[in-house]
This record gives sequence, C-alpha cells and structure tokens, in this order.
Amino acid sequence: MNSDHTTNRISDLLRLAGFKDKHTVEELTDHYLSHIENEVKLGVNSQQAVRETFQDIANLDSSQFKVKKNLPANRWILLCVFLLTTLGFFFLQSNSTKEKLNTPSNTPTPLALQINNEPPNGAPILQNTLDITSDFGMRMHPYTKSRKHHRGIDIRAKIGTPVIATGTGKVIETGFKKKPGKYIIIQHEEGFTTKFYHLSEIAVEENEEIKKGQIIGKVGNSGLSMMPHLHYEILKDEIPVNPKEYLEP
Amino acid sequence: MDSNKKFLNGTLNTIVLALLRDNGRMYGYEICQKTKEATNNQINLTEGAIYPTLHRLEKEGLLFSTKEKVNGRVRKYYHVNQSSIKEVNSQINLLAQFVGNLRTLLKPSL
Repeated sequence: MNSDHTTNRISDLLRLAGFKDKHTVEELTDHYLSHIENEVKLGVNSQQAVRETFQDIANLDSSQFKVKKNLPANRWILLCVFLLTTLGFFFLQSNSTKEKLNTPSNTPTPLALQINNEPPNGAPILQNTLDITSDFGMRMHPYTKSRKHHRGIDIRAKIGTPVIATGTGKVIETGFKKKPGKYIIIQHEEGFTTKFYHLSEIAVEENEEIKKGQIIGKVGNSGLSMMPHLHYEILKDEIPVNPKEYLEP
Repeated sequence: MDSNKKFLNGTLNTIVLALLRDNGRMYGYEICQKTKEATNNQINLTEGAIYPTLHRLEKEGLLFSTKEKVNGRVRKYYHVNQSSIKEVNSQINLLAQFVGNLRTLLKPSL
C-alpha cells in the first residue's frame, strides 16, 4: 500500500462526500487508514482493503456528522438580528456585484504519479468490480430502440460512485447537454480523449490540469439514461476505440 | 443490527464516556474496535454514530482531545475531562441502574 497516495485519496473522497471541515477530514482519514491497517493485519489483501474502504467512504452521508446544538433563547434573538442585518447589507449590495456561478470550492489534489504519454487506462470509477451493461460497437439503443454504433461502454454503478481520470490530461469541456447529461471531456497526450457521461456531479473545471486517478465527478443518471451508470468513451485521434481494451491498468 | 441502533440512540453517549473513563485516552476507531470486540461483534459503531457523539461530548465539556502524529498522520485522542468526572460517573451509574431495572423487568419468569 502506498500510504501517501491512499491518504490523499481518502481525504479527497471525504471532501467529495461533503466533508468541509479540515479537522473532521483529518480525523476520518485516520479512522479509515486505521481500518485498512487492521484489515491487512487480519490477512485481507491490502489492495482489496483499500478498495473496500474507498467504497465505504463513497457511500458516507456527511449530513449524519453534523452536531446538532440547541441554541438558548437569547442566542436565537442575536442570530435573528445578525441575519436581518446581513440580509439588509446584501440587499443594498446586490445590484453592484454579479457572482460567477458554479465555482467548486475545493479542487481535488493530484492522487497518483504516473508516467506521462501512456494512453488512458484502468477503471474510470472507484468500484471493486466493473459491471459493463453495454459494450462498444453496434447495439440497440435502450432508450430510442434504434440500432446504433455505441461509441463507448456503459458501466452500471450507484449514484455518487466516484468517477476518476484514467490518465493525466486537461479538462477541455464540462457541462450539461440533453443526451450526455452532465459530462466531462479530458484531453490526454498522444491524441487520446476520454469522455464521461450521465454524471450527477462534476468536480473539475474546464482547462484544469488533472492527474490519473484524480476524482473528477460522481456517477449519476442525468441526460438520456435509463438507470444510474457511467458512459465512458476513449477516442484516439477523434475516433472512438473500445475502452474495454484499456480497462486493465 | 437495527434494534441495536434503536437502543444505542439513548445510550451511546454514556457508553463512550464509560469506555474513556476506564481506558484512558482513546481515538475514534479504537472505540469502535473495542466495542465490537467486547460485544462479540454484536455492536458495530459506525463513523456516523461515533464521531458526532465524540464531538458533541467535547463541545459539552465532558471530554477534551489531544492530537498526536502516528504513522505520519494526525490522530485525535479523546480523554474524560477530570473536572467533569462527577457528572460522567453519575451518567454511567444512572445507565447501569437502568440496565439493572431492565434486566429485572425482562426476566422470563415475570
């Protein structure tokens, strides 16, 4: 187990799961690393322990971790006064500033070192096994029922499963369109491009340089999609190639 | 495990306080493991249960925490605040008494 990479990835996954507080991320990172160490001590294969832990984190609900506190009555009054003052202030300011929407608050840190120039490879989601529900090539479209060339593969996964970059590169496009739903397109070296469709969340920005293994978003069911899954494409010089041939790292 | 969850709702605070009082400082994962071992895998505390409890008890002043570097990372240890030991003891005793009463009430002979 490469502990630095595992540590970084755990912290990253926690932030993606909605944990904003630095101290909580630090504490939970120690929790999960302790768990991995314990599993390995019990004889579990370290890679498997790491993978299963990542999956556990991806399924975490950060809202459970909020400490609820009953405010005494005088604090409520103070809070109301504060809110009213703040609202008034923003009301006065609102015409003079226009905030840019959709600016992610934290950009995931690079997760793994890799040799540049290698084609994108490995699994595009953090999941133990890949359940490919639709292969590359000619197929009947599940939605439109027409026979069409499928430009990628569909991998079934739960909504929220982390989607990761399969190679170092640059995000050239993100957004939402009717068919792909929320999508990300990444350009890699040697004329390779990867595309990720039907996401529920996008965690990167256009023009962002990313590293292989970095979490770029979450699996979803957006766009023309019958069930939660990731549509994953690899293109070489603009021509779609079979991603299945690149799934092994 | 659902029934355990139901019962833990009102008792987890006290269980954590008792573990910390009797074992000295402990960190979150250690508390989960200790509980699991002591109950023969019957009570499995989740992260979503243990950490909010620890954080709340710390906010209330019954616990305090220290940080230490372990294996290159930061570990947060919790301790019972000795200035609150009376209250901690009283909470533990009350729960122990309640459990005793439950045992009497749930006796099959009754």
